Order: sequence, then C-alpha cells, then structure tokens
Amino acid sequence: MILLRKMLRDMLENKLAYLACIIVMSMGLMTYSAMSIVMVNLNNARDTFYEDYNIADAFANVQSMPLNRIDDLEGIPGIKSARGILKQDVRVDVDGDENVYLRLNTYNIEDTSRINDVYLSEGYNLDENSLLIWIGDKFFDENGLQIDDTIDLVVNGKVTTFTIAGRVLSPEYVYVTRNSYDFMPSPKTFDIAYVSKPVMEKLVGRSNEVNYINLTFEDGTVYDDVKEQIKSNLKAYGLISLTDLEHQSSNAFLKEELKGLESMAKSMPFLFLGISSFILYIMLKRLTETQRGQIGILKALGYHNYEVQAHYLSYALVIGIIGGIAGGILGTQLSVFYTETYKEFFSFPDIENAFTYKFTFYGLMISVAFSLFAGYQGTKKILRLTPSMAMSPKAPKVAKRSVLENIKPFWSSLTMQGKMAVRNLVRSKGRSIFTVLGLLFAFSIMVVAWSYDTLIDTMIFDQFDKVQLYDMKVTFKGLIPAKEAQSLLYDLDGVSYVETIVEVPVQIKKGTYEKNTIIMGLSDDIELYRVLDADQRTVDLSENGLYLSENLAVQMDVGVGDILRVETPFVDDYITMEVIGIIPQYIGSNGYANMQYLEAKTGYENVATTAYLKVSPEKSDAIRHELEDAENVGTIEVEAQTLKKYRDLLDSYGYMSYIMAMISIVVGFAIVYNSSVISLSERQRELASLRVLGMSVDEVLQIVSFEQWILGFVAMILGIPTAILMMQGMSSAYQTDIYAMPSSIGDFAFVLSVFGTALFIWLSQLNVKRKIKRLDIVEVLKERE
Amino acid sequence: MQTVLTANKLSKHYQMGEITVKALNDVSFEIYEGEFVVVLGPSGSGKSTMLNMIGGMDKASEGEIYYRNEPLHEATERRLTWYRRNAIGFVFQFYNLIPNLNTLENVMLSTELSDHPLDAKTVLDEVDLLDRADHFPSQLSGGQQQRVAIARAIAKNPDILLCDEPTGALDFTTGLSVLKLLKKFNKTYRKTVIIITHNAGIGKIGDRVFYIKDGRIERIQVNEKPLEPEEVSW
Repeated sequence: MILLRKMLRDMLENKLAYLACIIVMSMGLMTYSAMSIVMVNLNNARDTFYEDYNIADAFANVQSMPLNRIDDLEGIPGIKSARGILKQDVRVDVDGDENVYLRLNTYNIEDTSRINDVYLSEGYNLDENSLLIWIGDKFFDENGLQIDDTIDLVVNGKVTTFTIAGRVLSPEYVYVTRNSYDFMPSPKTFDIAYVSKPVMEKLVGRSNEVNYINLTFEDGTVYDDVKEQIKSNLKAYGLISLTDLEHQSSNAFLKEELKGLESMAKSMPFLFLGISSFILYIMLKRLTETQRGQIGILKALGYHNYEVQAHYLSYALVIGIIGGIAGGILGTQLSVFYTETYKEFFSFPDIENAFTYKFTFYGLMISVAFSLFAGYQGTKKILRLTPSMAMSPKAPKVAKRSVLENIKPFWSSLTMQGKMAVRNLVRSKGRSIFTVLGLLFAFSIMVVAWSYDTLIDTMIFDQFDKVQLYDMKVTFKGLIPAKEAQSLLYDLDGVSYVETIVEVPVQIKKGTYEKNTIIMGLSDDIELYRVLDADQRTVDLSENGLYLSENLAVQMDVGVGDILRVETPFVDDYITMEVIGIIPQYIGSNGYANMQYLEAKTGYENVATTAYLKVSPEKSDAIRHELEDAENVGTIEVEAQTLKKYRDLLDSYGYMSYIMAMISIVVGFAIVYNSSVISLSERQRELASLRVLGMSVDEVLQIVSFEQWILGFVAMILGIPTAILMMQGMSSAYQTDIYAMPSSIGDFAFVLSVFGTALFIWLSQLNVKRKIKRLDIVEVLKERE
Repeated sequence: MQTVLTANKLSKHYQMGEITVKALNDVSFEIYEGEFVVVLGPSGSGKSTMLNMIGGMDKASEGEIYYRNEPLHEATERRLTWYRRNAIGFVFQFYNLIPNLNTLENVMLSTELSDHPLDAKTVLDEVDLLDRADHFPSQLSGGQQQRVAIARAIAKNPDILLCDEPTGALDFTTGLSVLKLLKKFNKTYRKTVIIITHNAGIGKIGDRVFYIKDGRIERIQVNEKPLEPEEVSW
C-alpha cells in the first residue's frame, strides 16, 4: 500500500512524461477499438442486409435475353433461382450544368421471391400502370426531394415525368458508383431507381426481354461449380459479363474497405503500442537507475526482489490501464463518428453501432501486456543488484574519445558546450538511438501526411491533366459505325475535334485467374487520350498486342509475353492476345490495344462505342443538351465537371492529413520530451555544477539542446529514405481492382516535416529550460549520488 | 548471554580489474543479545563491508557467519531477505528515506514487512516526531530525517539494529540526540545495537568496541562501564 503511494507520487512528479506515454498508448488503442467496432458494424449490416434482401450469388449482363428463357437457368444443377430484369442508365432532366443519371431497374411487383430485393425506407408501393418511381435513398436526400415530388427522366430522347413513390436501398448497391473509374459515390448525380416491370418495358421499348440476370445458388454450390454452364447458356444472348458476388462492384468495394479496416485495426495499434512501450521501457530503466539507492533501501529493509519488481511494474501497469481504458473509451466514442462517416459512403438500411466495450477490454489486455513487458525489460537489470551494490553509487560511465573527435576541423569548431553534448550523445548510445528512432518515426509519418495532397493529385488529377485530354466523352448505346459517330458530333456547333475509340467488354483468363474488364481500342495517332509509361512518356500503341494496367497485371500474375484467353460478346469464340506492355495507372483497371489490331481480332471494322471531343468551353452546355436528345447517345461526361466533383469530394477529406500530422507531432513531442527529461534528471549534478561554475540557464540549455538538434538532424536524414519506403509500402498495401495508390512524396512534404520536427524539439526545449531554471543547485549538489 | 551473531574467518574479496581487494580478511567475532557494539575504524578499513555481511546485504567470499544458528553465508537470497525483513533494522549515514513518502509512511514501509512490528505512531512519538508525521523528507532537518530513519528501523522490532555512521552527517548536538535514541532502544527493548563509525569518541558508549583496520579486527575492547552519550564528546 505504502509503495503504491510512492508510485503515484513518483508519477505525478513527472506527470507530463507519463502523460505523453499514456497519450501515445491510448491513441493506438483508440484506433484499435474504433476500427474493430466499425468493422463489426459494417459486417453485421452487410450480413443482415444481404440475408434479408436475398442478395444474388452471381450477376450476369447480356445484350438481350427473352424473359421466358430465364427458367432454363434454373435447370442448371446448383442454381436455386434466376431472375431477369432490365437495367439502364437514364438521364435526369435537371436545370444546371451537371449530368445527373439514375440506374433504372425493373421491380417485379408480382414476384414474391425477388433476388436483390429492395428496402423501402419511406414511401408507398409501385403499381403496374402509373408512372411511379422509387429513388435511391442518398439521391433523395442530396437533392432535397420529397415523396410525391416529380422527376423527369430522358429516355431515348423523350422526357417522361415520374412521381416519386419512395426512397429505397438495395443490397446490390450498397456502394453506388457508376463505373470502375468512379471510386467514390456521388449520390447527388448518380444513384439507383426502380420502376415496375410494365412501366420499364414501355419506357425503354423492350418488351419481355431482359439484360441483367441475377442468380442464387443452392446451399453448398460455389460459383466455380456452375460458372461454365451459366456462360454457355447465356452465350447465345450476348454475354457481356458474369460476376460472382465476391467480385460484384458494390460488394468488392465493401470488401476492400473492410479489408483496409481490418489491416488498420491490426497494424496501427501495434505501431503506437510499440512506440509507447519503447518510451515506457526507457522511462522505467531511467527511473530504476535514478532510484538505485531507494531500491537498495527497500531490499535492505527486507523487501523481496519480486516485491520491488512488482513495485516498478506497477508504474507500467498504471500506464497500461489508463492508456487502455482511455483508448478504449475514446475509440468506442470515435466508432460512432466513424460509423456515421461510413453511412455517407455505404447505403445500408440501418448500421447499428454495436456499442460494445469488448474491444476496450481486449485493448486493455493488450496494452497491459505491452506495458508490463516494457516495464519488465526496463527494470530487470537493476533489480539483480544486491542491496549493498544498489546502495553504492553507480560507477561513472567509461569516458573515452569518440570517433567524431578525430575529425579535427569539426571538433575544434565546437564550443565547450558542444563538445560536452557530443560526448554525452556518444556515451548514452541507448538513449540517443531511442530519440533518433522516435524522431525518425514522427518525421516519416509527417512526410506521409503532408504528401496526401500530392498523392491525390497524382492519383486522380494526373488522369485528367495528362491522360484524358478531351473536354467531353460521349458513350454510345452500342456499337455504331465510326463515320456515323464522327458526322453526328462534327455537326454540332462548337465541336472542334473528335476521336472515336472502341471499348470492348471482355473476360480475360490466364490459368486460374479470370477478370472482367474492358479493352480500349485506340488508334496509333490518338491525341485526346494518352497512355503513359512509368516515366510519363506516351506509349507507342502501334504494336500488335495487349497492354494491361499494372494492377490488373499484378492481380492476374501476368507479364509481358504471356498469352491471354479473351472472351467478348462481340465474338462467338474466344480469341487470344499477347501481353506486350504493362501500364502504370492509378485509377481503374483495363487493357489497351491498337485499334487495327483489335478490329482484326474481333472482326468489327470502323466501329465506335465512345468518342472523345474537344469543344469550345462556352458551347459546352449547348453541345451537352443537344447530345442528350440524340438517339444513339448513352452517356455524356463533361471533363471539367467530373474534375470538379472529385476536387470537392477530396477537399472535404483533406482533414485526414492534418490528423496524421497532429498524431506525429504528439508522438514526436512525447519522445523528445521524455528523452530530455531523462537526460536532465540523469545529469542534474553535472548541470548544477555548471550553474555553480557560473554558466547561465541558456548556456546550460545549449548543451542539452545541441544534443537534440544533432539527433534531430540525423533522424531527418534517415527519415528521407524511411518515408519513401513507408509510401511504397502503403502503395503496395492499397492496390485494389479499382485503384492503386501512388507512392509520390509531396513537393513540400520534406520541408514541412523538417519544420514540424524542429517545432517539437523546440517545444520540448522550452520545458527543459523551465526545469533548468528550477534546479535547486545547493540541494542537488548536497545530495549523495 | 545468548549469541545473536557469530563470524568465523569471514572474508570478502572484490575484483577491481586485475587487482583483488581484500576488503575483509579472516574476521571472527561473536555478538550477544542486548549488547551495544561499536565497530571503529578509519575509512577504507572494511567497516562497511562488515556491515554488509552482518546485514545480509552481501555474501562473504569465504568463512562463515551465523545469525543465531542460521548460516547466513550459505543462505538463499530468499532467506537473506527474510533475515533483513525480520531480524535487522538499518540506520544509514545519509538516512536513505524514500523522498516521495512522508514521515509516517516511511516508517510504515517497514512495519508492513515485519511479522511482529511495533506501532508506527508510537515509535514516531518515541523519536519525538509524531507532530511531523505528514512531512516529507525534504521538509525535515538532517537530525529529524535521521530520527525518522531510526524510527523506521526500530518499528520493525528487529533483533539487531545496524547503524552505519548514524551521526556522520549531523552536527554534535543532533548526533548526540541520535545516540541517545539508540541507547534508549538498546536499554528499553534489550535489543542488540551495532554502530559502525570512524568516530573514536562514540566508542566509549559501547559495551564492546571492535577496532578494525585493513580488513581485520585489530582488537576488541570491553568497556566495563560504558558512558552515556551525553558524557562523551567528539
């Protein structure tokens, strides 16, 4: 009990140092519990939604299939049920300069066992005769809609007015993006919508036919069991893509996010716990060294070794417990905020926040274990001493010349304080290494944080600035003759230049790997789209063969020279293509090929699916309006708008980099502060003696601060390659189907990080100065060592 | 009188680089229950080493030492701790109080350990410091700190009180009051007190004086009529 009081008073005496340690520890546990809870929340929400609303096991897209042939699919062994629907992106007729689209789906009122059923969160039922529509929940909110409001849809150039009957969510569209280039939802301009089957058929003019088929499997059946049979069955209907649930776009995004959360929940806490344990280790080591005499007394009084050890471990235990509980509670609160943030991206009927302290408990166990381990390591050595040895002062450190002293010009340029500082650094190697490591970590994290903007720039805006050089992209409803496309577009006032390309939906295969993607057929002399290599040079596409985006190549484990089997609805049989190049690209994953080569392979000549346009800016809106009414035109993308959309979205997440920078400053400060406090308490007598000799507070401070500046300099030098490695590590960890993260370091990241590091070195020195001022010279010198 | 401590040819050697230092060399003695012993010698004579051996704080290199019938020279670390815990009370030259514990807590630190402790407050009252019970060491004078240290040692109710230069850091008057306290403990509780000092004046108050030099006991002097502390000066 008495020792407990001693421990508490000892800790209060150095509260800032222990507090810093607690903060770093609780940050780790905060991340752990917050991420873990969010993971549980998202997993629960997904499982419930998928289960209750009968998510499909496989999704097929065909050109057209008669409705009455759907039942054939149910004949395939392993298929439980199959449902066909019509799906089409339609434009919403709105004022303003943005393109707004809805993905219109058939909702079969009569069907009692719908696949990918719809959750109606507000509103009333659709009926077969009225022009009623259900709108995606987020679109509804973002556009300030009300039930019974009207909405105008433009289908095949004709405007139809619908009445909004409800707001809905679907398990198929938990994460709603328009295509693989959009990697964040933009609910104001794109979402889902449902109309009844007769209304849909009438609207798009396709009676008793479907273009999407959803399938569920019997229990025990896996995708690979039935895949080939489904494919052969759907081939006749122009199979465009067949995907299992795992690779379905919305689910894949969700899965990636959960994977990211899991890896964050597993790695981040250990990073912080590692640092705080390291701090704790050094602190307790120092504490036991300075309390050497007290340990001797305790032993002389008859305290057992284990009792003394337990006493010093109690410091670690207190840190572990406070850090663990604080982190757990903060994390649990933070999980509410995170869950709310996730609601902005993922559409679930209800994400319940599993307000559990389970992870606080786990976190507590982890932090206590880490602390006790650090405490044990930090204290074990001193406790081995016999009481008589412990009570006699420690032998002074062996003093010898350091290597630096041999560098004559350097050594002679130092003042006496400088020389003392350098010798002290070399002698206290452990502490110097600890400080360098701490600063190194803080510096590197800061570089990563400050690189966020550049990273986003490279990831997204490079795509717009250097790759997609067009002003407008027009996607046609299907294959149309290139000449027809050209004349249609050149006829528009303000269009200065047009290039057509072909985007072929394909399934590529190599061994067991299989991916659905598109191959872009580009002409040799294309000007409005650049395919760039790693050095940002334009790739010559004149060679015959297939270029694959890097992430696709990595995922399929293919390299230059590999032959791939390619299936496309454009060709009855499969074709083969040789990979002749890998293209580093951060957004989307696809293939590129020379237009002539692609035409030769598919047999289609002079066709286009897409056109790139150069237009005069002031005519842009007029052109868009005109194209919206054109019969063959599917979608129109105005580059400037897309760019603005991204910029707005990403700007709102810029705070992430500030949070990271803040964390690194706290960690850096904790480390520098602790190491200076330790250094100060170890050298009280030495510094007090210097004060007695007549040195001013500032002169004494110079010695301590000179040491820290040297260490800071070393840490920053080492921090440069460390930060580069960190970025590379992050970029390889975050490579997905949808995007890859570049490893570019920001232009000013290093400069800002140098300032950041200097800031917390300076802050900790303010405290050191305060302590030197307070040094009671007479008392310190009177005390026996 | 019953023997509490017996040493037979006790030696302690330290290795200092290539040189072996014989801090204690073939020392033999007996100390009896209730005796007041003064170990007298100049610095470097081996006094402190002897204190470490007697106090169970260090192990002998050669020879034997017994506490009653218990061989301390072959005791385990655990047994030595038991010995320090129950049989020995230490008083050090520089008091060695725990700075972050107040007066009463410093005393309670040792009462918590002992199997048969005295009441901490009673002992503090005996050393005249009950009114300073909640003061921290930094708020006490040297003499007061040493009295707390004595109270801490006594409160365990040990068989032997082992004092290493207890007046070494104190002025004459304060030192005198400390010696009086030790004498009082010796008489009141009939406990053995061993004082280790370089101060020849203090020798006169002991029942016996061990003169120690160069790691050996030169001679043992028996004081037929030991003086009271106030009768000596140094």
